[in-house]
Amino acid sequence: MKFCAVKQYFDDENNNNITSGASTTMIPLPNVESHPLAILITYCKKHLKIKANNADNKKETEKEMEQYEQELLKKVMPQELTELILAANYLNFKEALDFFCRAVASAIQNKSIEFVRKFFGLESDFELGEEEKLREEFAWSFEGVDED
Amino acid sequence: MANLMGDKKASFLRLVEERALSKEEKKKLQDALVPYIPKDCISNVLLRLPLESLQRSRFVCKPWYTIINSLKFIDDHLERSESVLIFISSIKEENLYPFSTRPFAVEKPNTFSVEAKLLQSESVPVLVQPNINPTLKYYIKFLEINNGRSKIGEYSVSCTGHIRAACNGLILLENKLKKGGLIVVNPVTRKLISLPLGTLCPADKESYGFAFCTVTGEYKVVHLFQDELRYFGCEILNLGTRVWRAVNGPSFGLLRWLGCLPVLAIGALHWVPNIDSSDYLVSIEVDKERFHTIPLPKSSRYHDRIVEMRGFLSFVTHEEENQIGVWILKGLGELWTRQLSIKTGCILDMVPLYSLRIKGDMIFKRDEDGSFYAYDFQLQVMRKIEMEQERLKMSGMYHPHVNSLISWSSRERSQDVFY
Repeated sequence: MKFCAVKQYFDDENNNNITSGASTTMIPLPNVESHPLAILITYCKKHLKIKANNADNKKETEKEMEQYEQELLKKVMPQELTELILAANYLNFKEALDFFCRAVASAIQNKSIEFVRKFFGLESDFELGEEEKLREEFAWSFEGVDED
Repeated sequence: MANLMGDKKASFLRLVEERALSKEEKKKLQDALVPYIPKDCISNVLLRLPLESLQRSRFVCKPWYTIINSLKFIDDHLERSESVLIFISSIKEENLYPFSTRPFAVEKPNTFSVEAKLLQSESVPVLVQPNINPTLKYYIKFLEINNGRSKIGEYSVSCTGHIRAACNGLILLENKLKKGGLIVVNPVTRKLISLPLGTLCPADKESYGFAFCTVTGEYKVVHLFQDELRYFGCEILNLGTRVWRAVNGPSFGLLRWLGCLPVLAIGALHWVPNIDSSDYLVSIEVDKERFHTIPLPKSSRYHDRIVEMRGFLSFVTHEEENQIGVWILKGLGELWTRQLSIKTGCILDMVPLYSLRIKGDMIFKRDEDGSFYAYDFQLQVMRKIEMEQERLKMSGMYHPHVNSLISWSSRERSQDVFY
């Protein structure tokens, strides 16, 4: 189910018996910028098209979607990914949300903590020495190497 | 003089005010540039990270620390984690000094010793701790099978005893420092707890099962042991209360062999009672703690096994014409249904070991040369696994395992959370 938030809006409209000028109805999306929205619409259209082309073959659909996703990632800047996640989340578009989360996960994988903080615009709110203490006390196995 | 000081103070104050304002403005600007991402989106991203990255992500900021330590995240993470095989490998096999003429074993630096941590938690002063000869220790490692290849992972954790059971990422380890001692460890988070002594018994006359009881939400350890009169006794311990309770064992004569690890599926632990020609399974329901037998659809032979498959119990058996049949039991009290036959690539001495909980492949190991094979149910292909090392040096048995962040008690974890 794509764009569930938008569908919800349509359902509500029908319930209120407003005349179906569906093609000209304006839906307010205050939390979504135009750029991520454009990408999401393209993604959705492409997904539906690929699905229609490979009606029964689920594997083929998956493969083609993967190829399309790889290409899409090349065009999108890593910083835009966080906006795309927010847009997909607001619009309740599960497939796109999962895809962009996957993309962010591979972008921050094996990167240093500083890199991750910069990526999300976060600051460390651990007190001086608190972080060190926690790291020592609750050390896990698999200490990876920090790269940037 | 006083005037000058006053001026300096005033200008200093103005400087501080200006600095404070610009910092606030900076923050506002930054907030405007970087949107706030809701917690479940952060979880969605973090759940996809490999454990090394996840470990570091804990320290990005306090909200992330709280998310990763939360019960929901840990459970979701477990759901998405693929099965591996956990095993121990003797330290003396990994000689750091291959040209020395004497057997000389040295523990690798930065190794977490289970026994040392245990003694530390029992407040035994360091000087009094026994110095365990490294030749008697083992490293805990795991084998990952993915896409036709295998990879060995290391936890950098050492122990003195064998792994007796595994469940949801927790393992039951022998503690050789205490006769009959047992420890429950999560080798990823390195959290561990010692269990009280149960009934002492020679290792070849006992078997342990480790299960999660979905009804009560607790972990249980089941100890089956055989006395000199060949009666089987049974005692069960809840990880919450940590007290052994005696329960009725299986009826005399039902169970004749403890060579196989019990399999946890459909709410019960199942043992194959004979090394060859078993017509039934001996099972104990995890919740009701009662033993009964489950008839098998056909006799289980030497290389046949039961395997947990996506929560169901499967019986994997070698058949005529070099085929392998797979039967499924979906619930206690139901009937076995024949799922499918594997027609290609079967070899008689292929013993089914475990199934990959996410990908679904069934993994086999050949008796003759210890090689691994994977059967892909979707592509219907049996594939030999390329091993990272030619001969896997290990001791004891392989246990199906999953690398998770699970802890046995939610109370244990409440210290890790910032509100």
